[in-house]
Amino acid sequence: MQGNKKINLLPLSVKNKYINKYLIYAASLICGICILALLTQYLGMAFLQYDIKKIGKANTEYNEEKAKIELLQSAIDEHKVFLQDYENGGFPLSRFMHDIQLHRPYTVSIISIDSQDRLMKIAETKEIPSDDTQEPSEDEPITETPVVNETNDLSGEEIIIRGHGKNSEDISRFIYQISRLDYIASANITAIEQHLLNDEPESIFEITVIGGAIN
Amino acid sequence: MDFLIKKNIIKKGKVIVDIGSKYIKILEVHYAGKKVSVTNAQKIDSAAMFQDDINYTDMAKEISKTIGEQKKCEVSVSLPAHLVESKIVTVKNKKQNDIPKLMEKEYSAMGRVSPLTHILDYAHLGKKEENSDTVHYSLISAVHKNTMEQLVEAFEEYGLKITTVTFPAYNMICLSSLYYNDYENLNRLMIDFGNSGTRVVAFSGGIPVYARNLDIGFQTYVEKLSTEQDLVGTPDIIKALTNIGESSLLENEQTQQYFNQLDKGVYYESIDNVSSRLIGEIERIIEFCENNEIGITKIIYGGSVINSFDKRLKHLGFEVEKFDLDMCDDMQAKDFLLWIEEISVGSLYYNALGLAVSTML
Repeated sequence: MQGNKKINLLPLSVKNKYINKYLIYAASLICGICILALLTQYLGMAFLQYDIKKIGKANTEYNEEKAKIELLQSAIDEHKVFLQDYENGGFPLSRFMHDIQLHRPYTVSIISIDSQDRLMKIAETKEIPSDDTQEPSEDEPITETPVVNETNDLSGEEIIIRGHGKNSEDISRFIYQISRLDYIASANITAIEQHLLNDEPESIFEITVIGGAIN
Repeated sequence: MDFLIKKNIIKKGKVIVDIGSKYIKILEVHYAGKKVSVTNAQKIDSAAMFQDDINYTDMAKEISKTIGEQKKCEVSVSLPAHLVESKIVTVKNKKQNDIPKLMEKEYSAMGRVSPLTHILDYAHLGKKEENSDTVHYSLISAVHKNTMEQLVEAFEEYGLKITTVTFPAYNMICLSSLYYNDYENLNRLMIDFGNSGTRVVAFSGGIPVYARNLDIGFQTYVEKLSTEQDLVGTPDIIKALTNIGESSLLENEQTQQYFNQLDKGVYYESIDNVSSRLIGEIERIIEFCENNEIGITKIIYGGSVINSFDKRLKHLGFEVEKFDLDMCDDMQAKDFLLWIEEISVGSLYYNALGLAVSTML
């Protein structure tokens, strides 16, 4: 036999009944598939919405964190720039303090290390003129807290070191060592006097060094 | 639905009912994986249902009882040949798409058949090149609407859902698909010996080109013997015909019992008379084929043929094959395998098997 045409002597009405039945089945199946597809889509959309909300929330948190990080980053950058500037041309104060401690003989004691401007500031503060109209009340005593301005660069500035020692050779060696530091432009002995301290003769000295850059 | 089964998309079970005037042959068939498995074969004596008119209600009741749980399956029915008008028609040099319209015209030429009173259908059997013409062969058929209505109603009453209705000649054509690779015998004759008649289909180049219903069947032998020996009861005649047939060599005590009442001489004379008529008709068909340049080389037969009739067929000088799947469990067609479970089908289910395989064509 050729082709799909086969003999079936079943009445057309019966054939149609079966065909209709199969069509109903097919239609039901298609409808079912459509409903299932729509439900899947709807669920997919709901999940997407949920994901979008979740991502939005995470995005807000991320932006907030990012802003914080940016602020911190800018602060770090500022500090980095300062440190870089400091390294490139500033006076290394901490290294200076470390070197003084390193080269100081045990017979020598340091009384003070001051910068010229600090002395000037203290002097200015102490020389506040008395004003009748603005008399400070006795209940509020003037409290002057010396402020160390760490941000000021001491290169080219005078730094005054005061101290005392029993052995003048040790003092000379100490002054010599200080004057040989890379970042010290010059060092001068401003004063050296002998006094009795605790009934023992001690040499009190004052050295003025001028700060330079590390390079 | 058959398309889905054929394409191996769905698996399905079917009940095949071949209505004959002696037996109703029932096959339970399962289609899966391009395999047609026959799982059960049963027969019901239908002689009582064929009194005067066919009693479809009793038939449906008996079938329903026999198939039991298989009721929900689709039922394919093969009608008795005498209820169906059919013939093979040819259309020359036309496109295959035009065939449906041409068949409409052929219906009106069938005679005694009208679309108002009959259900008409056709099958395209194939095409051949003959004398530089393209000849399309189609089988057209018609059955009375009343017959179909009675059948469908009766079956529906017992919950049997008929989905296919065919007839013996068409089933035989479908069965020929099992011989698709018998290239040496493309010109063959397929014969279905029935109770009330014999159906013959001639194939040329593997295409059915001629179909004829002969009104000589098993019942003709019974009627002839009844006329010749009116004192012997029909059941005894049937017993003798079934067990002895034309065989004259099987004369022993067992066979002798059938001749206690029957006159042996009259018996063989009557049998010879009917068989000669039948073989004569078959011979004429072969001659007709030869006259039309179709040299038959093989005869395949099945159905309820009397014993030793095959000798007459062999005397015609062609290869003769009895379609009997009891000897082999399966048969390979072009696109499917016909598989017989551990049951006996014999050649009695010739038509039913044809209807079973028609789903896969």
